[in-house]
Amino acid sequence: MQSSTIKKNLYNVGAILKGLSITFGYMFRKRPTIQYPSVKKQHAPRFHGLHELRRYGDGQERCIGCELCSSACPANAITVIGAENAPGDRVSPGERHAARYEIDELRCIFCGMCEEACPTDAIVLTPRFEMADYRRGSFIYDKDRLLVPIDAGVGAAPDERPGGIPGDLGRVADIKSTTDVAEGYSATWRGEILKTQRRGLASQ
Amino acid sequence: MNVNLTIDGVPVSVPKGTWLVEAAKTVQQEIPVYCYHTKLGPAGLCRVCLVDIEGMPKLQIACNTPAAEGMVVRTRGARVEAGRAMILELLLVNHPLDCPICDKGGECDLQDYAMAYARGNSDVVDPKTRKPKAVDLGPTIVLDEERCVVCQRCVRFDDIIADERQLVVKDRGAHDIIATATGSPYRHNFTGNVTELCPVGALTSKTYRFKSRPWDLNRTQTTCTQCAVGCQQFADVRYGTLLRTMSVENDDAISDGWLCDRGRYNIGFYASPDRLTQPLYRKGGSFVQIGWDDAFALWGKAITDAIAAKGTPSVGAIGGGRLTNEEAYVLQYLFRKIGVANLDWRSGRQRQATPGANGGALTDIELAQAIVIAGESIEERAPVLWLRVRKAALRGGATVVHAATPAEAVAALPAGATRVALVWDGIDLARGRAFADAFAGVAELSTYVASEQGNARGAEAMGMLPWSGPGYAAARARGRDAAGMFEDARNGSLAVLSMFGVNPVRNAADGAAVAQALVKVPFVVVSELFLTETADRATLVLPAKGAFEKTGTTLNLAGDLLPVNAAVQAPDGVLSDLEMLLGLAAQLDVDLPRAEELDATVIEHMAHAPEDFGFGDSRFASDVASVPEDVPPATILSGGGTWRHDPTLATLQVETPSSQPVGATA
Amino acid sequence: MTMSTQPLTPEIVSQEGNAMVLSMGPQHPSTHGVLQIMLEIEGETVVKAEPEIGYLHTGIEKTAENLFWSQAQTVIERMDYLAPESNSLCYALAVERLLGITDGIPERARVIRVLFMELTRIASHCVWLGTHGIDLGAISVFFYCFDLRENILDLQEAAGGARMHPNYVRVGGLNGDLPNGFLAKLDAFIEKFPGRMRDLRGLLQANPIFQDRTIGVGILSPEAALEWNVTGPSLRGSGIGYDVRKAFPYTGYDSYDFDVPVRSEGDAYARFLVRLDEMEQSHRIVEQARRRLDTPGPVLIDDPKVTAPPKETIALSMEALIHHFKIVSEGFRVPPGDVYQSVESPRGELGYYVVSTGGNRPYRIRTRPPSMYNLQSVKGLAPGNLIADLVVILGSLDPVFGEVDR
Repeated sequence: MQSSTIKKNLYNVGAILKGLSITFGYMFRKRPTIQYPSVKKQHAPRFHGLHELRRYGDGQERCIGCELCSSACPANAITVIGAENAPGDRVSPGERHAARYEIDELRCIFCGMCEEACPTDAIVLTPRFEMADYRRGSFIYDKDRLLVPIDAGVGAAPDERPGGIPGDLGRVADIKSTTDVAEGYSATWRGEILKTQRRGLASQ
Repeated sequence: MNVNLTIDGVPVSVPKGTWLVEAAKTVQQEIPVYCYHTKLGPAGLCRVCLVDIEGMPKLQIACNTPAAEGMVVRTRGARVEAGRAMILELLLVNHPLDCPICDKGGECDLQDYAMAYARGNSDVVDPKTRKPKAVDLGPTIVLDEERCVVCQRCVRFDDIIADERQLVVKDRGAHDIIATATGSPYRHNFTGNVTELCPVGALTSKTYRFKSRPWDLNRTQTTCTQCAVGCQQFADVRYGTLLRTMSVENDDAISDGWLCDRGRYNIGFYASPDRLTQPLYRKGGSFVQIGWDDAFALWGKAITDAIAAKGTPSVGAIGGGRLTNEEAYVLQYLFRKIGVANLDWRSGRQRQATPGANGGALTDIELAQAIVIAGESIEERAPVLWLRVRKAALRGGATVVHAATPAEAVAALPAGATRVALVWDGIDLARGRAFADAFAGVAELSTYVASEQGNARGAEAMGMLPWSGPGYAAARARGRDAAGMFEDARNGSLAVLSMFGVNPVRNAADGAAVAQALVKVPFVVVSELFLTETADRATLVLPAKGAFEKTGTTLNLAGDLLPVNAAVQAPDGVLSDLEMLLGLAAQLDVDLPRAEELDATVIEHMAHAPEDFGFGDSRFASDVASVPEDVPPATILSGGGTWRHDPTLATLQVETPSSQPVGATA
Repeated sequence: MTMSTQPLTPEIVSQEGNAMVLSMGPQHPSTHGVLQIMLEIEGETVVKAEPEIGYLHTGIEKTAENLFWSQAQTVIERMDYLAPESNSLCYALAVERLLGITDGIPERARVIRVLFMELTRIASHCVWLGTHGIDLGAISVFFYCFDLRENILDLQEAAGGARMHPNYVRVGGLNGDLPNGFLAKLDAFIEKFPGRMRDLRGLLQANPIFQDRTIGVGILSPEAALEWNVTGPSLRGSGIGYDVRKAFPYTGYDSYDFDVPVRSEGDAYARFLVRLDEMEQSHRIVEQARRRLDTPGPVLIDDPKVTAPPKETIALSMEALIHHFKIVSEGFRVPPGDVYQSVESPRGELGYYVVSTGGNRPYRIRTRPPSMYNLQSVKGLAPGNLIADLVVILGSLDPVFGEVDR
């Protein structure tokens, strides 16, 4: 055997041993793996997940059925049909509310442009991302599934003058966008977030 | 006489007296306007149309400055734009933050010009003036007083176009609002036009309130068939529902850019739950639903059997005034092919729809020195024609003459009138003839028949007359007209009667007699949208498509061939009359003309109104002298009876004269 | 363009002798996407290779023509899904040039754009390195690469709200400033990177198996590279130091201190080394950008006709509300004209030729996807190599099929 070959073989063994030592070293480091689904990742506050429609603190819907979200949507995933608020049985502040509000989550590309378009901070993307289901039809989320529980509202409704615009505008989005990244959002239950945020608003 | 001026560096020559805003259009420069409107003229209220004129120290408004010789005008530039930005900032000072809930959002001039000229923010931080919102102005209109920029287009429309003078500006300064002068609901035949004139979202239609956004609508241009004027209109459809109709602004030849409230708001019936969606067959005194194949088979067999047993005079067909030209042509073609001559479109009181010699174009009315209205008022029969008559009276100084007799009419004419327009309702042939004779000597006479059905003239041109075929050519065999057929029915000699979009039980001169006659006909077929009085007495009821659901052409009262385009999908199971006739033709073994032949035929036969007859020609006379005298005039004669079925209008009639804002009690 | 309806081209089938036609892909794991290569082989040796593209055609260019200028950004970002910011930045730069607002983009926005450009380059190269390693049997590299990439995806998620398509770079700047806590996360990444890079190099660079598989394989001569229009690391592995960041600097790249790694061997190993060096250069740029981020400032141009006003102002000002409403519902309008803008994406020169007719929607967006041009060179590189080496060649060219087929 020629000496150059031996040298090369020795070098090769050395290189392979070096590589093995690196992998061996990683056995003693902290594992980055998350044991999903028993452990869930904390998503950033700005995360674009499942939508929800918010309410004001008094239970009125924030959505006024203006259709700006549906026109901003690049995927045509949102359908809004407006209607007039009946005096005495007000759904939202002002004259108009959304009689129908549907999002096809299969079409949705989660770009967040609906959230930016909404003039009352009604439609918000939450960190919830687990939407798997067995039927395509069940991905069309209507108002029943999008609206938050009646006690999970945030902010004070605008004054009773018809056509008023909420005074806390931008603050709801603010809370979402300036929350500390390190804190993250739990993807477990959307009501939790809302209640955190309501506290946040009250303190401002 | 023309004057020469320069606009944005381009030399322009325009007639003397042309407003600068119009002159700028000749060089494709659009100047923003709120108060100015081509058909309303200048008012000089909004000040947004500022332009820079050389030699003038300040910016001038283009809408109220006439073009002058040697003028040098700049419609752009920093100075002009700064001026417009300032005006817009002032207009927006008190404008409420309503865009997201405003129906006008997306098609609003205030938004468009703000995007084009205004700054992105405002220096004004003071609270806005508050005024009542959602004020119920009348049966059709909602007024938002905060949004109003007081351009007064609506007030001026009411004044100089509709001649109603109901709307006024109330109060002064920053508190001025639009209201009716008397405080009573705003109500006339043309109220809907103010919603289109309004450059902001102050005046909106109740029927369209919060229904949609302009970018969601699929727009189709079509012809209104609810009266014989044939106004062009846009049908706006969202998710298959007809939500609104809009006027076509440059439709100068026909509608002059206006729509009547009937044409604009009587559209809810297309989506009515009462509509027929399946053929109904009378069995043992009540209707059962059957399929189309069975319906065609029953219909074909009834006709074949009747012809075999009693000959072709025992079969008849009535209809055409509410059909398209194509359908009317195929209707008479099919029945004449099997030897049936009993064909007529005239199910109501009207006898004649074609003016014959001297038939004029709609725009001729504006040139007339006198307009003579013979018979019923055209305000209900042809509302938009009435607007043109008013225009001639208000702008052209024409005399409008309502007269019972020709002698009175002639007496009321201005001295030396050489241009006269004669409008007749087509009901009383003798009266029509008398009027026509009285004015025969006038140098420039233009005559019109204001029909009660949209395509009455088309039906006549396509040959739905007992004595003439397509193009008014004399028919080989003269049949019975509608009145004759009803008489035959009473005598028991009529076996099968097919009716298309007519409701003689309601509209004929003697509806009760018709109802009794129909009972004696063994097989009555009615093609209708709803179960009308006539359909209710039929053996076979066929659900038909409405005008917004089918494609074809119509002929308006002035003889213009107008397109009808399908804007809405018809309910499942509903066929157009043409499709029904195709089904029947298959049963009767008749080959119908192909589509291209049909189109060519329609154009060939509509082309010229015949010169050999005028008002009250004897050929239109009924062969039954049974037209009773003193018929009370019906208020609305839309034919076919769709009018009363409109559920939208039923809600519109509710009177709420209070001007309290809707939200005040909440 | 050859469509896949006739994969067996007559010239291949009519070959005489021992030739055999083999379809590699479109489900072959080593094609890193849906690529089909029609191979004519003699034994194990490739005689001819014919890439068949189009299996991932998404119609993004056409879709974009029917969206507002602002909405088109969301689909364009999905072309090169491994480096979303390079797509969106290139598109935004093109539209900004058409609008004539290039000079008005705030400095902080330009810094953050560079930051994400380079982060996304590292992330993209991580995917390339991991999968390239897997192709050659080195599994661990894949995990370490994806762990590193995950940190970058976390940063994207924190800033833009989504791991892969954050829709963060916008025409006129960025969608919001960096959130609280972002810089700390970024610092952690900057600190972690050199050590991880050392490990990755240690695993592969000197590995004899890896070297045997890559050295001398798929040699692309500089002339051939230019003929095939190859750009990016694949070109620089052949000795030509063309980098759009240096040649046509954009977004302030000329103010950063970095080198363009070049190798002259032209084989798969050279391309491997160029990319590794590039990751380190990107790290240098990220460090420099990080230092500039301590200065606060606006991140969106203040032009109400292009960008919607801040949301809190629409409750106060009618002008702001109108501008918000119109820009959301109709988009902004772009003056008529056309412009070609290119950036250095992780794969090479990514260019958009954008045509406007003055409306609120693009008239045409023509993409120059680097992957597509790089991939063509397979036709010239494959003949004479073994089938197993074709996997190496493909991996060393690093195509992304969202971009190739778009």
